[in-house]
This record gives sequence, structure tokens and C-alpha cells, in this order.
Amino acid sequence: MIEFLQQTINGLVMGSNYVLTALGLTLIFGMLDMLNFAHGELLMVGAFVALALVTGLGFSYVVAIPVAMAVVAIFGVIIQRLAFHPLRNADRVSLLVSSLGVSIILQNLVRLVWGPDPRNMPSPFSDVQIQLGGMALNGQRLFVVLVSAVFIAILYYVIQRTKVGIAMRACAFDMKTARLMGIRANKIILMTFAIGAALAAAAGTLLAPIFSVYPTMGAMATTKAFVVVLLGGIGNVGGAIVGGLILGLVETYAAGYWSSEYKDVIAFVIMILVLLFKPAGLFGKNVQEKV
Amino acid sequence: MKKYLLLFLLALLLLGFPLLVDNDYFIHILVMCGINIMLVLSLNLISGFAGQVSMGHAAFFGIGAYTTGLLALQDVPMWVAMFLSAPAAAIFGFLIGYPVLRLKGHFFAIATLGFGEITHLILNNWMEVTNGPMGLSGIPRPEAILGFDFSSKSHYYYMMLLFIVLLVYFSLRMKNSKTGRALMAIRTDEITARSMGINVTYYKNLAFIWSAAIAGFAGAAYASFIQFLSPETFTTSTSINILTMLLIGGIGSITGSVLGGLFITAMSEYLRAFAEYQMLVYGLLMILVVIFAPKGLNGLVEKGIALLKRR
Amino acid sequence: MGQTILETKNLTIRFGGVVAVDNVSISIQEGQIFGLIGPNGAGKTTMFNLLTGIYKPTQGQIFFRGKDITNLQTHEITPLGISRTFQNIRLLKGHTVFENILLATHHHLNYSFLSAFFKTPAYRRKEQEARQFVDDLIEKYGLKDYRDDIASDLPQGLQRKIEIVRALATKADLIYLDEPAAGLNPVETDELMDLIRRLRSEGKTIFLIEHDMKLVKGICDEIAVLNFGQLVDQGSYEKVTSNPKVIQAYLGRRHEHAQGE
Repeated sequence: MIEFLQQTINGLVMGSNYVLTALGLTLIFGMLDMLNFAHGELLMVGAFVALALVTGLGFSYVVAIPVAMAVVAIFGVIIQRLAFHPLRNADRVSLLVSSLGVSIILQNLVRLVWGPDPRNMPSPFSDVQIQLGGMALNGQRLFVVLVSAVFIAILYYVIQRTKVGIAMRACAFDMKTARLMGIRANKIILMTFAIGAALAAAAGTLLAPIFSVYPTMGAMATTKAFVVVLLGGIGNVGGAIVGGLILGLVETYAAGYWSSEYKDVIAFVIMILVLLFKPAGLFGKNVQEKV
Repeated sequence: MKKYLLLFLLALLLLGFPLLVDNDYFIHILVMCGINIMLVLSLNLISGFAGQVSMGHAAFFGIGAYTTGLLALQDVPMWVAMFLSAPAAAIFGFLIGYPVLRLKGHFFAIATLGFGEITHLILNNWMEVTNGPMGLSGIPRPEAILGFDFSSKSHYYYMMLLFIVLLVYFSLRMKNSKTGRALMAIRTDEITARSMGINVTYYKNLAFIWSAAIAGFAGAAYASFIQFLSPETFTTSTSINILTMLLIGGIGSITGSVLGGLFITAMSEYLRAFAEYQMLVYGLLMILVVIFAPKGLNGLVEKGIALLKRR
Repeated sequence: MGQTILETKNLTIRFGGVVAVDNVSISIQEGQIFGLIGPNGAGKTTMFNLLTGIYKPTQGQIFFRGKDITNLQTHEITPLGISRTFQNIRLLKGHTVFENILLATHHHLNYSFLSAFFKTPAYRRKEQEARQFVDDLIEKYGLKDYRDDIASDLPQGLQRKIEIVRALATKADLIYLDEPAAGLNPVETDELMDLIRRLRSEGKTIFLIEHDMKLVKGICDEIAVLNFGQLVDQGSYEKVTSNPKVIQAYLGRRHEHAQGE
């Protein structure tokens, strides 16, 4: 039983991480019909920025998180302007390719600067154990779940209740009409990129003390984020939240009770199953193409 | 007339090359170049002609290579083992293609990415069969044929030349037939294609299966040349390399596929000293090409020829 | 006229809670020019999509020359002798007029890939025949000057004509035209009417959706009126336009009303 609870906590840790990463991705996908292959790299860059702040500039871990988020948010906007905006009228393939190029550039730039070896991210919570009902909970993991929950809640509130959030949802649902309704779509797009990037950076920074920081950590993150976006339905924030948690839990249980080598296969199997049986996601609706 | 003369000269050059240049290292590069060109030509069928961007092509490359390697190590004659790589890869092409080709653009891309990753994972972890990260070694050379015993790398060069000529011809025939027209219609507008009586599912699968078979065969060629296989050769990175070559050469163009393969292989060799920066350059190239030269090298060549004609 | 070429029985389709086409039963005779009119959103294009296999009906049946084609897919319907044009002109971008029309020969061009690979005499002959067929059509319908132009770069009136010739190139007997006069000026509309009449004189049956009442009145033998997915009336132009229910359908809607008159 303890084992199960332990696994559940781990699953929630991974799950909340996936949610944070996938939120930006699902919104951009919904808005621009664009699969951003470089999204995971934003997570990675976020982790490295935080690393630099903590080990190089002596920032505290907790302060490094929002600073890294801000830096990566700006970074995300720059990337959007340089690599994606020029292609806004081109076909989807071009955008996909461009994002691939960005992903490759980022991975390799970071590798050149910091080297390929994994680095440790020091955190005040890593060595803390909290006793809860007979279980020893790792402080960092608890921190991850709590902070993620806060960010997710904030985003959810923004999306559902604020004017900006509604504008974002409108754009994710039907960009053309949103524009016709007077929504400044370009501004919304930039904002969404910034927020998505910030959340990805948060995900990277939160997980860094647990899994260490290395240049290729973003690649798998992108793929997993895709699976979450698929599970939840494109552009569906609530769906991404549920989908991310489901993925995290299922993966962790499978790794714990079945095989940890093939853990990553779980995500792909889920992906293929969803694509085959519920391509609109667990919560999405099938929209017919207008002829 | 001029065209045939040029082609004739090109043929002479290509055939005579190993005789003129007696550099083993150089020939080795050309053979690898040839394998890359085969891969790009194969990807061009599904991603170029049919317009379905596949990001897991290294999987078929790997399936073909390992099929050949495993059979050969079981004492199956090498040519037979090589030949069987194509149907082996084709079977997987069908199994994966049939469910996944129904999906629209992005989804198909992600699914193929997933398939590529799964294949790599299996190649790396299925110790009993693939020997995992330690790989398969001791794959024999192809048996002697028509005086070529493959003891020299130039023999492989001629083999690759033959394969590529056949493949280019195959691609040309496909492009200029109703099959090619159907695929290009599917790439541009599936609904119109259906309206014209084209069975979109059938043609997409056809392109994908052939694409897989050819990539598999490239794997066989690779296995017979390098004589050692490791899962690290068949990663998502490799798939993306093939896609990059196709893009830079000119997606949808046969000449482009050849040019792209040549250019990138040549560049990786040239940049070997700067191996660290190689991928960085590729990434940058991808973005620049897609924004400024969407038709790739082939497009630039065509523009160049048009400019010359005007003079 | 003659036999019934197309018949629908209780054709219905529901999208979630919306009934886009509601229990529609019509029949079209061979050689007719049949018009489908109705306010925007009445379900007319949806009808076409149902008839061409793009949507599957929730209920009801479709018969072509007596054969049940309800559950056939689009690419299975075309070889039977049915073809269509689209409201938003779907010519292949980046392809020439010739190439666009050549595509339509696909289903009646029969050679295997093997014969294409080896360039057999049979393959060469069939390709040549198909190309000649397309060139003949291009000549016949006055498109010769535009043969090698990129179709999507040409003016809209011409594009619509090309789409119609493309539909003809499938050797269809029944052609669906979805708002062929949309965006055309009066001169172009007259030319279109002549073209459609010409098609009928060659034995084609035309089923068209239109808002332009001048065209509808000028060439349709029979008209059906759709509103909110339901068939409101069917018959001659005079009969239908004097039906108070039809008038109500158009006037009762606050957006666009039918042009011309």
C-alpha cells in the first residue's frame, strides 16, 4: 500500500511536470495549427538558465525559478518572431521544420556552452524528508507538486475567467473568427508563446534537482507533451491537465510494476492508441472539415 | 541533344570515378553518400510526392539493416539476406501505415516519430535478438557477382551507383504516371483527389510501403558495407537527418533528393573537423531553407537555369 | 427526359444536435438541369457532401440509376459517373490547367504501375489517349490559350469553367455544381448559362446549387427549395416562387436574400 502511494506521488510529480510542459504547447497548437518541436528545448533552456543563476550567480533556487521563467518567456517570444512569424502563411510542414531547426540549434548551442554531461541542480528541498502517515516524502517532489499545482491553477483561472484568457481560448478555437471579433490575434499569439515558454521553463527548473540537467532533456519532454496534447484534445487546457496527470501516473505505475526500461514506450503506445481510437482526444470533439 | 550529352558525360564521370581517384577514404564517403541518397529518395516518396511528413524513417532503415544482419549471421546467403530486407521493412510499413496514414499531417508526423522511437528502444533493449547496444558484428560481405567480390570499397561504390540509378528511374516512372499524379493531388488537396476517383488510403499506403521497402534496402546495403550494426545508427536523430537532406535538396524533387544527400554528406565530411558545430549548422540551414528557399537546392538550381536561359 | 438518374429517400444527417439535412426526398431525371435553392445555411452544400460520399447520412438512402450508393466513399462514387465542383473552387494549386484536368482521367485510365515502370506500349498508348482526351476538351471549351498557365492564378470566372471542364473529364453523366455563378459578373453568368445548356445538349444531367435567381429561372427545368435542412417545395420555377412557404423562408431570414429576380 505504501508502495502504491509512493508510486502515486511519483506519478503526480511526473504528471504535473507533463501538464506544465503541455499547456503552452496545446494552446499554440490550437491557435496556429503548429506543432512546436522546439517546445521541450524551452524546458531545457529554462533548466540551464536556472542552473547558471544558482551555481554561477549565487541565486537561491526558489528565486531562480521565476527569473528563469521570465528569461525563457522573452526567449520564446524572440524565437517566435524570428523562426515562426515569417512562415505564418506557409504550409504546416514548413512550420514544423522550422521548429525542428530551432530545436536542433538550441540543443547544440547549450551543449557547446555547457558540455553534454548531466549536471546537478542544487535545491534546498532535495534532502528534506517529510513524514506523512508512515511514508517518507521527498521534499523536492512535494515542492514540485505544490508549485505546479499553483501555476496550473493560476493559468486555469486566467484562461477561464479573465478577458485575456477568453481571447486566448477564442484564438485556439477559431483564429479567423477571433480576429473578426476584434481580438488582437498577434498580441495574443505572442502572449501565449511567452506563457507557454515560461511554464515549460518552470517544468524544467522544478524537475532539475530530481533528474539533473543535460542538453537533450528537452527531446523526450516534447514527445511526452505531444502525447498529453493529444490525450486532452488540441487547445483544451482542462484536457491537458487531466491528460498530463494520467500519463504521469500510468507511466510511473507501469515502470514500477512492470518494466522500467520500456517506460517510455508507454507514452508512445498511448499516443498511438489515442490517434487510432480517439484522435480528437479524450475530451475533444470531432470537427468536420468544411467543404 | 545537349541534355543527352551532359548525361553521357556524367555517366562516364560516375563510372570512371574510382579508377581516377584511388583514395579509399573518399570512396568510403561516396558509398555512405549513396546510402543516404537511397534513404532520401525513399523518404521522398511518402513525404515529397504524397506530402505526408514522416519523422521515423530511420526505423525502416534499421529494420532492413537488422533483418539482413541477423539472417546473414544465421548463414543465409548475403544477397538473399539483403533482398529480404525490403519485404521485411515493407511489412512494418504496412502494419504502421494502415492505421496511421488516416491521420492528418501533424498527427501522422508525431505517430511516425513515436514509431521511430519505439523501434530504437526495441533494437537497444532486445538483447536476446539484437544484442542491444553492443550491436551485431561480423556481417559478411555480399557473395561475388560478375567479377565483383566486394573486397574493395569501389565494388560497393558501383553497387550503390546501380541501386541509385534504379531508384531514380523508379521515382521518375512513378512521378510521371497516374500514380505520381494521384500522390501529388493527395499532397495538395485530399478532398479533390477523392473527388477525382482517387482512393487516397490506397495510394498513401502504397507510397508508404514502397518508401519503407526502399529504406529497408538501404539498411541492407549499409549492413553489407559497414559489416557492423549498432542501434545508435537508427535513432530519431537519423530520421531527422534524412528529412533535413530531403528538405535542403528540395522536398518532392528527385534531383533534389540526390542533391540533398550529396550536399549534407559532403558537408558532414567537410565539417568533420568541426563535428561539434555540424548539427548547429544543420539546424540553422533548415530554418533558412524553409524561410528563404522552400524549394531547396533543386529550386535554386532551377532558378539558376532559368536565369541562364534568359541571357 | 427519361429515367430517374438520382433519387434520395428520407435523406437525413445530424451533427450533434443539429439536423443539417432533414428527411429530404427528391428525384432527378436524366438530362435535366435541376436547381437547389434556399437561404444560406439551409443545408444545400451538405446535401452535395452527402451525395458525393463526403458525409455519411444518419438516415435515408441515395440511389444512382437505381443503384444504392448510400454508403459508398467519394472515390467509389466518381467512377459510377458522378462528379462535382466546389463552392470554394478546389483547383490544385501550383498545377497548370492541363494538369488539373488530366487528374480527372485517373479513374478511367487503366494501367498497372508495372506497365508504367517498363513503359510498355499499352501504357504509352493509354497515357497518350488520356492526354489527347484532355486536350480535346480544352480545345472544345475554349481553354486552349490557358492550357499551360497555373490554374489558380487565373481569374475566378475562368477557374470555375476549368473546374467544370475537369468534372466533365471524369466522363461523368451527372454533374453537381455548387454555386457556379458565385462571384461572376452578369456577362460571365450568361456565358455560364450557355455552358450549362451546352452540357445538357450533350446528354449530361446537371444538379446545381445557386443563389442567382436569374440563372436559376433561366436554365433550371425543376427546382427544389431547402430551408433548415427540410424540403419546402419542389417543381417549376413559377410554382416554387409563388409558394408562400418559400417566400417566407427567404424573407423570414434577416441575412442575405436571393439576388436578381
